Amino acid sequence: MKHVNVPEPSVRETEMTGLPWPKTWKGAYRFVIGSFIFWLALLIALTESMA
Amino acid sequence: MNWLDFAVLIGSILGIAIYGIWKTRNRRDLNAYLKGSGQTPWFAIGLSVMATQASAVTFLSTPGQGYLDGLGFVQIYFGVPIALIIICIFFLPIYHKLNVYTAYEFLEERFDSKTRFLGAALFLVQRGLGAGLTIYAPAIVLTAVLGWPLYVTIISCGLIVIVYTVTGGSDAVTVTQKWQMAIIFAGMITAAYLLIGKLPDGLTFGDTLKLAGGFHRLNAVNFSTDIHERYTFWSGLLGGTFLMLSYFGTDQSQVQRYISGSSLRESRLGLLFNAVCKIPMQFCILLLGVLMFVFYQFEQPPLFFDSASNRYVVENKADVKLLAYNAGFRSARAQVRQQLENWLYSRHKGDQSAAAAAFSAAATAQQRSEQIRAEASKELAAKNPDLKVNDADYVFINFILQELPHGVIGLLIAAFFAATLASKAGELNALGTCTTIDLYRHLVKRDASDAACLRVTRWFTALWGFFAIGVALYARLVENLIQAVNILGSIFYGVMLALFLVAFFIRRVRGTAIFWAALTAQTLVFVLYSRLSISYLWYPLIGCAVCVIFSLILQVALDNRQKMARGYES
Repeated sequence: MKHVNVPEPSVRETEMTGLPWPKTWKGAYRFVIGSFIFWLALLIALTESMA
Repeated sequence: MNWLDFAVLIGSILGIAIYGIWKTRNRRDLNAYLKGSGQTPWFAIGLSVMATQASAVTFLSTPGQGYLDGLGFVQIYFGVPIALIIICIFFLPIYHKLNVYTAYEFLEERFDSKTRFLGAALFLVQRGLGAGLTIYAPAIVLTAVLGWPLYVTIISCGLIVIVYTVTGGSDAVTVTQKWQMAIIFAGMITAAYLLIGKLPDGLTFGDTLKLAGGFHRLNAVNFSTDIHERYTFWSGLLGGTFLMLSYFGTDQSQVQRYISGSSLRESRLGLLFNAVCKIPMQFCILLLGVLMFVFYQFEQPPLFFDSASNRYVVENKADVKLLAYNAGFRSARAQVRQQLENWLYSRHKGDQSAAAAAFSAAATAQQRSEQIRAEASKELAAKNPDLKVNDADYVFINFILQELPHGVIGLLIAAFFAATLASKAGELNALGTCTTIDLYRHLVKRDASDAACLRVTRWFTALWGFFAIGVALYARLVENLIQAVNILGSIFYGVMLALFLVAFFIRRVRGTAIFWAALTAQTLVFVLYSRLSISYLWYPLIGCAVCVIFSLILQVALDNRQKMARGYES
């Protein structure tokens, strides 16, 4: 069997994004999830208030 | 269209093509043709990924979807943020580390040659068919604008895309896609601005939302657990995650876009840019359709938006039944308008009971008009089986041509063409690359030189273009382009994803087990799709789960057989 090693997440995710904000990849993923929750809340509010 | 529209259309499309040729004039090696220059920044990657997914179908059919069914379609994109984060963490580092041309090369590294071939074949079949569906969209525009027969516009659009892609390669695709996206956004924002300006005087933002909500066009999130309902929160979040994970993580047309980044960082940021922007972008496009719906409550819409069907009604004045339907429809629509004007007047006066009564009457008249439209559609299909009313794809182009000023018409048609070139070039480029790298150089001529591969890739790209034209000629059979593209992906993507998930996370499973498990799971998905009526968004999840479970069972059986064989030998 051939193995292709996946780099350890702990090492990769602490690397810097090179952006002023968010600085780490973990922070970038949190930002993506946060924006998703924001849009979801907005869409639910639109659905409920205009039904 | 007048001279100004043609000037905007030809100027913008030619301008982008010349820019692409000029920017990539010194890059003519195989690596640049297949993977790009390797210097692409994250913003360009992000736009390239977005442009490859957002074909003309997105900008033509999605507003129609919003017009007919409201915002519910946005739920299909709920899986995008989660899927893209998973790809950034697990898929991208491997693709970058192995420095592959195609995602399927990794399957050989991890499993064996036949599994790589299977992954490539699944991609080629579903993407080849999908490419045909998306060539169909600009052909609809040209048919509506110029009145040419649909087959002529399909063939012309296909040939333009083939020439553009074969000459450019991956590098030119990435370089030009950001400008194509700029034209698309400019066109859509202008259309939205003018549409808002065309809404009746006195109709406030609150009235618009109330009206759209009253006609169930703002039901964006549906928490129903009924698996037969096509778009729900659960099918979007669970099924959609699997669909998007497969599309962005294993479809070569996308993988080829983001592996062109100069580093892992650039590729990741490009994908995360899409993770943030995809839902708001689709929401805005659907909202444009909802605003069109509000607009047509105060204006007389045609009986059919579909140009061929509408032309049939106009030209066949002797058809008494269709004429009666048309008259009934116009009368019902006039009542809708009258009652909504009453509703607006009472609402602004503060007379809530009169407003409610007027809105209820408007809703009844609206329902009657839809019923007449449905009956007329059946009548039309009975009279002329070649005419299948498909309003979703025609609503927006009809609005553009009838309601917007010259110059803007040219800009929007340029936007549809830019979207077609951007997505088709990405797809055909990926199909040509995969056929060369995974089939030709892998199975036919392993010692082919880079120059020979470059030549062969151009031929394969052109051949896939002709195949797409062939598919597009039959695309009229599908109910709605944007849905048809997603249904096709849903049938194949589950198994494709399973190949990669098993490769990443289940080290115990080897090539033979995953190969037969994938074939069995794909067959099962075909059978289930033909028998069940559940939402298509569940098929990626089903296909993936079945393939993973089958591969584990098969691997255990194969291991046991091997142990028994060893036992006999000893």
